[in-house]
Order: sequence, then C-alpha cells, then structure tokens
Amino acid sequence: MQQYLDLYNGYRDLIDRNSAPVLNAQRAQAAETLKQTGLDKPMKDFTPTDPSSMLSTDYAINLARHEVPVTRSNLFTCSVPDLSTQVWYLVNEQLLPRPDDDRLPEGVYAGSLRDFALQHPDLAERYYNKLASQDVPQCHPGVSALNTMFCQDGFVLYVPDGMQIEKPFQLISLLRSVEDFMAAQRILIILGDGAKANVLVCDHDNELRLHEGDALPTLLSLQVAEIYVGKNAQFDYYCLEEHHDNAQRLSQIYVSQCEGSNAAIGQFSLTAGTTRNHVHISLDGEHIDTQLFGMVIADRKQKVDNLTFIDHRHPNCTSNELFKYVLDEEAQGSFLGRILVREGAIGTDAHQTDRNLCLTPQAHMLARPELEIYADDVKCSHGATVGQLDTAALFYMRTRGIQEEEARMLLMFAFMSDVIEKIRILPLQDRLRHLVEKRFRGELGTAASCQNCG
Amino acid sequence: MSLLEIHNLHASIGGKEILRGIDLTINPGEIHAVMGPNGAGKSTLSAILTGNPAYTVTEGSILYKGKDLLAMPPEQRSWEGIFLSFQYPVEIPGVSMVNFMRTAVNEHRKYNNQPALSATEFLRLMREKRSVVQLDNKLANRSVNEGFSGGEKKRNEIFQMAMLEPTLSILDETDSGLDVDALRIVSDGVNRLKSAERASIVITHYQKLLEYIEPQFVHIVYKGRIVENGGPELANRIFAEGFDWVKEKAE
Repeated sequence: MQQYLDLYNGYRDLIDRNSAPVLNAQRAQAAETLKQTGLDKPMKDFTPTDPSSMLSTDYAINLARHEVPVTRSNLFTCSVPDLSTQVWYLVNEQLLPRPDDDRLPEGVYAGSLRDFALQHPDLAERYYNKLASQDVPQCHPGVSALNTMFCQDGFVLYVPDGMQIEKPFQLISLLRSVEDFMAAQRILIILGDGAKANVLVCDHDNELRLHEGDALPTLLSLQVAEIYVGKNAQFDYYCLEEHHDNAQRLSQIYVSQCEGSNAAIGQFSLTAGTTRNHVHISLDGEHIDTQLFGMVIADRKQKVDNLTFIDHRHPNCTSNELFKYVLDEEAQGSFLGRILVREGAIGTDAHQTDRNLCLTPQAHMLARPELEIYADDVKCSHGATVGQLDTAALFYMRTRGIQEEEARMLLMFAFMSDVIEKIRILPLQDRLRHLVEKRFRGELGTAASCQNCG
Repeated sequence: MSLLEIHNLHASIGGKEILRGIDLTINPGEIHAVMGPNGAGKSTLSAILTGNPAYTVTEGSILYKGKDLLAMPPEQRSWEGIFLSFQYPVEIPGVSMVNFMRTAVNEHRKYNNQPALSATEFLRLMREKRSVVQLDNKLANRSVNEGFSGGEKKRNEIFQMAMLEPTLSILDETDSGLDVDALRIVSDGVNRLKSAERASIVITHYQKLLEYIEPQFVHIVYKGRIVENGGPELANRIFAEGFDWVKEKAE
C-alpha cells in the first residue's frame, strides 16, 4: 500500500495536471482513507481473493497520460449479431475519442469523465465520488480510495430526465501492456427521473510480450462504477469479463436507486484470472425493483469472488438475486451475499439464490448467504447450494446415446440457463448462450479480443 | 445367433449383492416378461444391461449380438440398440426435449455413419413419433420430464423409444401408474416396434400390460436368481396365486 501513497505524494502535480478540478478535489481525502483503512480484507473474510495481495505487485500506472499506440481502427470490432450498440473503447484507463458522426440525443452526455468534469463541473461535483467514498458493507473503502487517488479520466453516461435510449451503450475495456500494469478505471452513470438506458461493459486484456520468452505481465483492472438511477428510471448494466489467467480484476459497483426505479445488474465472469467483484445497491425510495445476478465459469487455478449487498431502506421494494458458479479443476470461488431489510421497510420482497457446481474434488466454493431483517410484514428468502452434476440425469442421457462429455455439457449449460434468461436485452441473451456454450466446450479459453466472441 | 446371452450374472450395489447368478437367453423376435416380488432384483437387471455405474458386476458375462456388453459404456449400448424405459424417468431442468432428442438421434446416426438430420427433418421425425404416443406438442417444447405427470413421463419414454428404434427394449414397470387409456397407448407404441429382428424384456407386476404385449416367455426372479421359467401360463398363475408358492419352492 505504501508504494501507492509514495507514488501519489511524489506525482500529485502530474496527476492533477492531466485531470479536472472536480476529480482532483477528491484525492487528498482518498489518500487519507487509504492510509487509515489499508487494503487488507476484514477479519473472518474467508474469500479466496484478497485486495492487498492482488495489489502487492509493483504495478506501473500511466500517470503522465502517455497515449496508448492504438486507434479505433486498429482495435478489433465487437460484433454481437442483431445487437446494435454505441461503442466506446477504454484502453487501460484511457477512453479513445469517438467519431463525431454518431450524434447522441440532445442533453445526453456519453464520453470522457475528464471532459464532463470540465464542461459540467456542477453535475460532476454533485455525483462524482459520492457513493464510492462511503464506507459500506461488502465494499472495500481502500480499493475505491486507491482508484480515486489515481483516477484522471473515465467514462460517463448522463441521461437527463425523461430521456429514454433503447440502443445500448457498450464500453469495451481492454488492458494492454508489456509490463505489470494497473489501470484505474472509473465509470459514472447518472440517469434522470423517468430516464432509460442500457450499458454493456466488456472486459478484455491483451497479453503482450516485448521479447519472445519474456514472462507475461500481470494486468490489473481497478474498476469503480457509481450508478445513480433516478425516480421511475429504468437501467440495465451488464458486465462481461473475459480475462487471461494473468489478469486481475478488482471491481466495486455502487448503485443508488430512487423511488419507483427499476435496475438490472448482471456480472458474468466467463474467463478470469483473479477477480473480486463488490456490488452495493442502496434502495433509496419506495417501490423499487432490483434484479442482481451473475455467473462464474472458472477452471485451472482461477479465483472469482462476488460480494454483494442489497440495502432495503424503504417500504415496498422488491429485490431478486441469483448467482451461479461452475468450478472445474482447481478453481476457487466465493459468494458472499448480504441483504439488509431495515426497520420500517415493510412490504419488502427480497429473494436470494446461490447455486454452485464443483466438478472436481479440488474445486472449492464458499457460499455465505446473509439475510438480516428488522421489519415485520416482509417476504424474504435465501438459499445456497454447492453440489455436483446430477449423476442420475447424466446416466439417463447416456442411455439415450448422448456421450458423457456431451451430457455434462448439456447439464452445465442447462444449469446456467436461468441466469442468462435474466438478461433483458434479447440479442445479448443469445450471444451469452453462445459464449457460455463455447466456454464449456473449452473454445473460449483465452479471449484476447472480441473476435473470440464470434 | 442369440441377441442376448446372460451367463451366471452376479451384481452388487454398495457392497450388497443383488443379483446372484442370472442366466437368460433372448433371441430376435422374442418378448420376455420378467416378474417377481419387490426387491427381487428385476430393476437391477435392467440397470446392469444399460450400464448404470452405480452397480458393480462381480461375476458372469453378457453377450449382446455376440459382443461383450459389459465392456461398452452406456452410450455405446444405446447406439448398439439397447433401450431402457425407466421406471422413474429423470427430470432434467433446462434441457429441452427437442435439444435432448436431437443430440441423441444424431449421436446414433454418427455411430452408424449417417449424416446428421437437418432441423426440418428432425422436427418432422419428432412430429411423426409424437403422434404414436399422443404426446402433446407442448410437452415436447418443455425441459426433459420437468413437470410432467406420471403418465406423461411414461409416454415420453415410449416416445423416445419410437425415436431411437432399439433392437432390444427393456420396459421397467412402464405400466405402473398408468390408466387404461395410457396403458393402451404405451402398448401400441411397443407393439409397433415388434419385428423379427427385435426383442423386448418387459418387467411388470400387472396382468393388464401382458394382455396387450403378449410375451412368449415368462421368468420369475426371486432373491437375485431366475427361479421359474415358463410361458404365458406362468404369468397367469402369478396373477391368480401371487408369489408365495414361488418363494416356498425356492427356499
């Protein structure tokens, strides 16, 4: 941790010079938070991943804003059939400029966080680092503080009141470096009252070697997303991870939903090295609907943790949470899901399901569902299971002539089907079905580009 | 050549011996009924014939079409024409009947060096066979056996049998839990497959099914052995008198 504080203290001017005053204003407090909280995980957190060890590598950080030698045209294109998106590229922590010909509706802002903070300092001031600076359960304040200290730019989506945008925004994030590298990625999403938008984030990395025979670099995506969903607004956020074994992902998503709003948050770890996802959703009004779901498919020595928190603060809100893992070989995973129903949050309808398959005796899953209820007249449930593939079903399929490998594939695919069905963009559902099948068939393996998604 | 030759078959599950020396020969064109009190080993026999990994064969041999059946994995036994209509068909949530059957049919075709069926050809075949057992189209679009009634599950077994056209079909208490109409539909499905090359083993407790599917041979299993062999008259005696006389004679 100290190396980050030293780096920050030594290069404070350089960091500020390449950013915007609103972002710079948050750094000192963030450094203080980091100094106080550190990066260790709390006691009794038995998850396989640990922020302090993930961050112990001596990563390079691009403080001088050296341009990455790529342009939109020499990057891959992501083609999801039947899904037309407005694509943005985030290479490491830098958002690539986008051609002007794709005009957005009047009043909508999508693009660079730095530019947004310069052009709309009032809005940026009101929303930037407000959620992420809170010390809330299942999130790590030190991790967000580290991001805030070094964050110079990022991606913003601002949709004003009443504006409904059907075409999804797609943010393709690509880690590229020949040395151990950390990218402080920042996402800020603000939906006004009655607004509607969809965001798809695709996380990839390019493993590059300078010389044949060099060790592969460790690339870390330090991702913080702050999401505000206005009154009666509807928002979908899907995060698709396809990383190499050497990549690390440390993600914290903070969501604040206003009265009558409706949000779907999906996290899909198709391939990962070491990944730790934190999600905190605060239901800040009545009649809110929240759908939180995710899947993890891991093998070799991959580690994926999901830590989630849904805070029912007001009456008559609904939340549904569904997470599923398939762990093969020596993969490790954990799901720590907490739901809090506060005093007075009557009429709450909160359900959590976590189901996991360990395909080998070496695969390990830790499931800890927690439901805390301080209100009467609520409907809540939670269930967590860890098991193996159904041997009776396997045998039944084999007696029909379906080979064991194929039967296993069909069962694993079937296991994930209800998570895929939670996606509210149909072409994306189809695409994910295709990707999940490829993943189970071992054809996804190391996705260095979107071409693998094809 | 016999279709199936079982010699001195011994089998156990979890260290407990269930089959203690079964001998049975089945020729093409024959229908055999296997009867016996609960726990005699009838279902174990069907499990061994289909290669259920939960059971261990400790002694004996099985030749099917002259080949060592015990050396084949369950899927190969299916490709070679063995089919089991399960006493308790398994529900497979998330796997659609269409996907399940298409995979099964095409694996069979691959084994026989035939090209895979096109989507249209497959759906036509499915429609044709579905009508044999009057299986609702809605069921065909659902997950395998999920939410099916007892009768629907059994009809679904016969539907799968019609799709795969096995050489040796084993019906493990397919009649239990069926009403008279369903029983007739199931029997029709079985009788349609009857031919000089094919054979069936029918495991049952009830007279009704044997009235529809007329076996030439009846075997009584008790404590893991075949203790009585006969023709249809043996089945009639069981229905009239029960198994007590068999047990007394065997003890």
